[in-house]
Amino acid sequence: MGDVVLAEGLTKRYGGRAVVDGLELCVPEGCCYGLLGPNGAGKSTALKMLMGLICPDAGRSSLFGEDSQRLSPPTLARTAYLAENHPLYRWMTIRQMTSFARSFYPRWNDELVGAIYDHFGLNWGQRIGRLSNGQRAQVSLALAVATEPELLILDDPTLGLDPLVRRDFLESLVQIIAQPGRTIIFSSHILGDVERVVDRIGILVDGSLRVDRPLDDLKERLRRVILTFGAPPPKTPNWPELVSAHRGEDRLELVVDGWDESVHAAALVLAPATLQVVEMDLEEIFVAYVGGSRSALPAFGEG
Amino acid sequence: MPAVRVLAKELAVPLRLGAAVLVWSLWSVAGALSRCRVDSEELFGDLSRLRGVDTLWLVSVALAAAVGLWLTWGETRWGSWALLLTRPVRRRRVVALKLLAGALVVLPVTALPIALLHGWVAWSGQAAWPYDPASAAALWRGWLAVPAWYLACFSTGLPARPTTAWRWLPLAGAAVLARGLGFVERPGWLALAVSAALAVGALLEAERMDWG
Repeated sequence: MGDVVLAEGLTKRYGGRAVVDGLELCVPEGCCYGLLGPNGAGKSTALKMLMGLICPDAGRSSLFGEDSQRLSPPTLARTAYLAENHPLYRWMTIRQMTSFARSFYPRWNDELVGAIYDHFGLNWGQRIGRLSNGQRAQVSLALAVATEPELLILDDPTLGLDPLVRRDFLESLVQIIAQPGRTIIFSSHILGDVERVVDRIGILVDGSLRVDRPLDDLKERLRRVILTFGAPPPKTPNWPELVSAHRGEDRLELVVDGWDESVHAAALVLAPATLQVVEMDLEEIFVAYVGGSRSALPAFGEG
Repeated sequence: MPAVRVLAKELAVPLRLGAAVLVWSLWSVAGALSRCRVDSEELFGDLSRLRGVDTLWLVSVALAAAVGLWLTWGETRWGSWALLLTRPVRRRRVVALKLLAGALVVLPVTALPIALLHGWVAWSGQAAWPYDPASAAALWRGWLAVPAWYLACFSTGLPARPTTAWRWLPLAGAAVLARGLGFVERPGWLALAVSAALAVGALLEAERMDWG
């Protein structure tokens, strides 16, 4: 299986600040890739560069082996891009919008569009401008999957949706987009959304990809190690496996990538009173990578 | 088929604007003519000074600006470039179709009232004085700047120019042209050259600008 999406040293600067900084990305065919990052990490800019909507200052990217800046109509026909905030023409009705989108594609699944509109209770005659954010997201999703794309790029599809709508939308999204052989890039800052959909994770921090691994591998290898001491903890160790460290008054919390015998032995050298190894969920992993090393907050209300 | 769809979509709103402006312009021209007697000297002087006709230029420029900005700045404003430009069509083609759609509305709508006024005055037997083709020259001279205004507003509305000065450059070009048309021997050629430069500039830029 070849790489459907490839980015090499992709960089974009705005006002001297690198929003995306040397991004290296490789998404193989059939992979569902979750691109995570806090707000402003450069996720949308990276995806827009992949789609050729933004010119990179350095580096290059390609879809199906074709330079993103020169995507041909046949390659665009194989790709669907769900932009953040779900831009649609507000003065059109759903019927007009669907008919407009449909005219571009040789392949269009009318049945699927109808089923999605029915599922969400959308009326073909409704004007786009009168739809809620959630309903516009639903229309956008229907229009994106109607082309039966081989590559689906979703840029924060649940952004701006209230929790109830988001949950319903996500439930449907998982059913609709999952298809054997389809490559999906799903960007989000809401980890629960991504965790249910993707099989590989990339965490973008300050424009650079800090993590790019299968989700299962990430969960398998990352551990939180809690060391308690009877006194202030010793200096934070400088292990290569260390992802982040959190110092408390008498404890040291370390997030370690690859907990094994050697790291265990190194931890014991610190002479802790107790040592506890805890599994981490995606949210904790994300915070460990994004938050980095921080000092503990003062214990409010104590004393 | 996609080209027809894009053209139809781009024409939808400008056509409504154009229809409103055309009705207003024709009404103004009819009103101006109804105020003039057949032997009125006003009909044989500079037609652009006729009361009611004197605002035609302003209305034409306003239409050109509104249509140009609607076609490009409108997409920028609603973030819908991403929707349009990720369809399987060449970007240059999309921009060319947008340009064409606006031109199909702006040029006839602004030229028709002048042509009708000019024709009415020139029509044999409509006036007691000999017809002087120069009487409509100022009107046509003013009209020559309308395509450039349209193209300048269209270009200005395109997203992500490198600098503010660059963004306003097309508008400055149209303003210089409008001023300069009164001083050159062959205003038609000058207007054509400026308009062609603006159109080619917009099309060339379509392939390499930031649309996000």
